[in-house]
Amino acid sequence: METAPPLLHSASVLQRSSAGLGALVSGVREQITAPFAEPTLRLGVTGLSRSGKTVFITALVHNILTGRRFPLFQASAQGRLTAAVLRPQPNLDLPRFAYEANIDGLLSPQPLWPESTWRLSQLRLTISYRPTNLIKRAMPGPHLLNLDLIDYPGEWLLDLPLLTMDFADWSDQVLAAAKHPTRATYAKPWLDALGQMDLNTTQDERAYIELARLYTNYLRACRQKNLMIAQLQPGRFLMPGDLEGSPSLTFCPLPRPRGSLNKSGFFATCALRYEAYKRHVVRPFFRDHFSKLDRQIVLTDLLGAAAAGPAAVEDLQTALTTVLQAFRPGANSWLSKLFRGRRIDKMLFASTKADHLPSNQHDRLARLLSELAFEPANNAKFRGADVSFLALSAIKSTRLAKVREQGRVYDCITGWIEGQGQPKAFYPGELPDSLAELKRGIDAPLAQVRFLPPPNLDQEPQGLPHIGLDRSLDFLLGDLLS
Amino acid sequence: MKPGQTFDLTDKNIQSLEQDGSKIWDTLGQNVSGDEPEASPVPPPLSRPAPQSSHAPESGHSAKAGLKDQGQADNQDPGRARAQPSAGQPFIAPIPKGAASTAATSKAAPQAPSRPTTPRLSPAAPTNKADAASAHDQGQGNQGQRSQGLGNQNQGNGAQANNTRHSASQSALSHAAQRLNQQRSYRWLTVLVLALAALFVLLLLVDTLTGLAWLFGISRALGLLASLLLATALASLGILLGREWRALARMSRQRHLRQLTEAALFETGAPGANEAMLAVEASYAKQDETAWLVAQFRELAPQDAYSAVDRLEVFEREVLRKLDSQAVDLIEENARNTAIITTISPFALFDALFTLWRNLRMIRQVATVYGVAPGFWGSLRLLRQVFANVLLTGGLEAADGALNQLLGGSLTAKLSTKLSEGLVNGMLSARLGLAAMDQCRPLPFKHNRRPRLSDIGARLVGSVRKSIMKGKDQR
Repeated sequence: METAPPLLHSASVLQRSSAGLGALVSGVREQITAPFAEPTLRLGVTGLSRSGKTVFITALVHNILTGRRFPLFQASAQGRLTAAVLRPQPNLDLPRFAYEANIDGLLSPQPLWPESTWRLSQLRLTISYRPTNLIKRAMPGPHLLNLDLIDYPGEWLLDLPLLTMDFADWSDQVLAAAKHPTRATYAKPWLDALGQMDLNTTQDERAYIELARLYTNYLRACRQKNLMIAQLQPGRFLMPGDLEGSPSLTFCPLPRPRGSLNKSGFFATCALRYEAYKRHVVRPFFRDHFSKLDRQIVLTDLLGAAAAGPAAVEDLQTALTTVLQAFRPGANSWLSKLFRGRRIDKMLFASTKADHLPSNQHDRLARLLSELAFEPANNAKFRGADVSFLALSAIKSTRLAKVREQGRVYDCITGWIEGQGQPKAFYPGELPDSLAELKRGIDAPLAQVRFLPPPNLDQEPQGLPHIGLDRSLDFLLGDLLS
Repeated sequence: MKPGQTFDLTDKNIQSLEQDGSKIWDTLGQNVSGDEPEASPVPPPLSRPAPQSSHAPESGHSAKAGLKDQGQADNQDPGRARAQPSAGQPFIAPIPKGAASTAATSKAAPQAPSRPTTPRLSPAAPTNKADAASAHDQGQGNQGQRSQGLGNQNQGNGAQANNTRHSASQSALSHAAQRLNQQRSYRWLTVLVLALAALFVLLLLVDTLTGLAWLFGISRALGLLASLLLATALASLGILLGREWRALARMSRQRHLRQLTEAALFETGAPGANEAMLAVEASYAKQDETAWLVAQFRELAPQDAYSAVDRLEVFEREVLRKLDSQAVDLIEENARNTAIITTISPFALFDALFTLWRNLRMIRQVATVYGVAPGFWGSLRLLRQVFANVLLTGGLEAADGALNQLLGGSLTAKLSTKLSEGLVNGMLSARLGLAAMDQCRPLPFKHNRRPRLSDIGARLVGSVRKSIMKGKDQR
């Protein structure tokens, strides 16, 4: 299995073959039932935290439910989407995606972005459409497509690389990163506490809790400063979900102990908990939600990283590359579905928050993203998946304005900036032309502000304003609705 | 200005905000317009969006000015039309005169300096200046090659030069040189013709004046009547000429737009896509028949959410699709009429004349659908281009071939020669119509299916046969 994902490398031969067998069995079952079942698309909305997954899902569902007309989403532009409803989700053990609460928050008189996601949730949107395909048209209707969407905290995504690392290797990596001058100040309390402790002896549970707390604080500080985002691991430390306080979340990376390893020592216990974390948290998360994806949209907050500086851009690139190694892109055919399990046959890389830039820079933003994600995209293309890049803003919260100062006209954006009562015009500066320039750092970094969603969004004549949402949908769903 | 700088929307600096018919900004608009004096040269930037923006009473003043200027631009020099994207674009307010340092000697190009002078952050100001300067130089170069007599150095060409500067600058320069050479060799011929024409006009004038004087000599009333007639004749002549001129200018603007859009759609990263899109949009927003389509289009694909190339795509799908189907209907109708008349007419000469007249009329109608509305000379010019197009692509043979395919050899043989002649004529007519369509369309066919001769041909045969059969039955 030369194409096996990294997680399987660490698995035993037995596990590997049983996993293969399991895939084959479920593949066969799926193949047999597929022609009779309703077609279902599992769309993976992938993105680190604050990349806009929840807003994307909310906007997508709202726009399709309200039957809004999208000019570049062909099925919609041609009026072939007859209706859409929310139907019971397939996994009954998962919370339902809080679509109603999110959209109500956005459309309220004091609109707010949805709160950051802290747990998994799922939603099934069923679209009824009129096909153009002759064979489909010959079948009795209604023609339905189930769209399964999963929302989850982006922090968890960063755990996927852990699957290929053992505790000592991972600790080495984290400790090396913590000594970097930009992060050393935040890591200091945690490293000091580590220094005072003999790691090879048995310790009270309070020590675990204290060290885990200090380590978590360090991670939080890094996240706030947009530093080291590729290594904010374990993700559950930042967003524990329902596992808060459990032993599998009470450890931290440690330097290798000198001498022989005490089996009940601090180091060994932490290593055990790390393995338990991998086994009980990371692997099920990956297995249940990512290994069966059909299509993927990768949301990236490139603008936020650019505003935080060159180091953050590098980190983002590393994070993207490592996270996406866990997915399996490739072309699908009925035979390959049978033997290899499903592959992600379309991958869309979207640079979110495009509404923070005037429209004449959107192309440049997409181009920068294509450079940033060159490696994973290239890998996906090599394996036969379709790849595309675009600038996206699932809900556009700004408008374009031209501001004249000293005889020059600047492209600005206007909107409700967080913390300011009145809408303001804002000059975001200009993105450089290439990633290399961006990594060198821009003279005047793009100042980053947060725009609130504008009031009265629901009174828009054409539905929620957006940037690039229709193109994304056309890329991701277009062929299935033909 | 530094990145991260913010402004109050009541600030006088804020020049314009895009409008696309959405409502969320109404509250904001009230803020702004409330604080702005009404006589301000900058119209309220966020006034309530109007359904057909350029005719909207709110923006009436500036829009009218824009229109008028556009008209003048048409009259003076087709090349100036390049500066019109900004002029016709209704939601960008004009810069008050003399406000912008680089530019706008005429209102026709209020927005022109915005592009060249937009600063880049990483490279600092000097490069901008160089850019602007080179753009300016090229603007002059282009202007020089295009028009000799009309040396109105419109600075707005800076914008246009900026569009084409990257890819087209080299070829544009060599073209200019070639054209200059050609023009030089024809110069004396032109002088000769002009001199002769001037002489003729002079003689005519003298003759008329003496005639008038003679009439005045006979009777004052007669003289007055004659001068009144003369004045009327002159005025109507002037109006006719003006119309023709404007129609010609419109056509050349359309051709120019077509070049821009083709570049934008088929060469990735070609500059000028945005200007082309705005110009196309503005020219259709001005016309009453298409204004609502454009208003709808603007709501559907607002400028601040869609890139220019995407907007071109939406424009073709949404607006041009309707115009295309109108044009195809027209072409079909004309082809059918031509076919029937040719079939039943007894005289060959009548056939020929009728066909020529119908075709000319059809071409004009098709052009009018696309908002080009050619005058008399324009139609002739269009006819010439269309014929060139048809000949170049071997369209006539294609018509014959398609006919044979459609009818099948045996069926053709069974039909009378007259009927097949009629059908050939009809097909020719359809072919001309399709070529005219291609000539007049502001965008190349990309996302819409190009109507094919065989589609029209199939329906043509059916309908001709039906109408002839019907005629028989009635008899």
